Amino acid sequence: MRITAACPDAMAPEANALAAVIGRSDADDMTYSEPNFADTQGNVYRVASFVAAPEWVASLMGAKASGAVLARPAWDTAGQIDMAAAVRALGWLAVGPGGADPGRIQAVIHDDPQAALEMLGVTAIERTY
Amino acid sequence: MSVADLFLAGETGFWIDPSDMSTMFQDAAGTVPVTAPGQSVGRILDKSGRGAHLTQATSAARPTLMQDANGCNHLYFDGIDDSLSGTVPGMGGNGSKTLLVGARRTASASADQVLFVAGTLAGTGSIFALSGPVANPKIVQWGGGADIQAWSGPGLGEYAVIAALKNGSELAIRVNGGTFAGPATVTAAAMTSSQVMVGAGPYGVRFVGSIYGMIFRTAVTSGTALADAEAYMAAQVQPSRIAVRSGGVWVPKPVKMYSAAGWVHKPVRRYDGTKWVTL
Repeated sequence: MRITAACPDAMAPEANALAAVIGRSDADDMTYSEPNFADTQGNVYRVASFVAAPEWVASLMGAKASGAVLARPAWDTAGQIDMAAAVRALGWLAVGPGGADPGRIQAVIHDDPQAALEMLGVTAIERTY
Repeated sequence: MSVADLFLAGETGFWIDPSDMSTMFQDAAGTVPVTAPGQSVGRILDKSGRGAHLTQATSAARPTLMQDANGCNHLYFDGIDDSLSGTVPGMGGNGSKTLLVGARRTASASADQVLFVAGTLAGTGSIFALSGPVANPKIVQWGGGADIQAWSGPGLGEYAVIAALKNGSELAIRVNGGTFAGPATVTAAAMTSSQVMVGAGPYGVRFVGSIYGMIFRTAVTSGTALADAEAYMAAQVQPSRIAVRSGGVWVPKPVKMYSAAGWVHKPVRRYDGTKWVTL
């Protein structure tokens, strides 16, 4: 399944910390790399879209529901990840139908990323190159 | 002339081929091979022999290997955060360049969609870029403010073989084997970077759709070499058909042959760069 998540610009450090925890390397700290989308109210978001296994999503949401402690990934031997920030991001994460919201990290599930953007109610910020 | 022949004289550049499963890996380091459509591609090897492999270190920003109804592999770029990048040494200065891509746009967008950028990827500087196919695609040699644009297609969902050509100070675009725009003379600053980016530009303008193959070389490509490369790319995007010249452009044409069972579709062979394979 494909996950498309809209992260409010102000929550990017936390969202990137969570992405690193559930990712495979420190490069995943750049998942929400640029403020590239906006909603009709002008709120700016960093949107990422990726393919994930259903079990992965269930595991993540299970951890959120149970309040389980996020484990530092094995690759982060240098302790680069701000784990407290990752925990905050998990608390702000909502998975399911819903529009982008400045108060949460909204993730929707849809195989078509463009349809997911419509569900989120965001459009690309026009740029040149 | 095969695609590999385009690099025999020492030209720098790259050639990526999503139909060749042995060239793709799920991670940027190249340790986990791509084994099936639906998997992310974090590294695709350059088949030109120059070692200009393209990678994406961030997991969520990797394109996905997909297979279309024709059985044709392609890299799907989601238009949100996907891109690949790499380095092509010897690309500096203001020399000639050829970019050939087989692509299919799958979502409309109000702004440009960047297929390829070479050169300075941040700040100011000269770039060589192809954006589209959208409503207003163009080839750009920036740094002097020059570009060619003005075309009306290919439209949404259409397969296209696009060639962006820089011959000295002339820029031109070819679509499906026919001249689309140019040549036009431009004045541009020299490129100072050897970085390349596929599926997006450095400022977040992204391509929504499929890339079936891409060839980039730091040399002029013309005549038979260009026609052969375009025919190769046409077969990449629609291998169940044969591309033929008609009215000055390459068009796909189904081929049939008569057998004891009557008229049947003729088996189609495709040149993969080293050998002919039956599809």
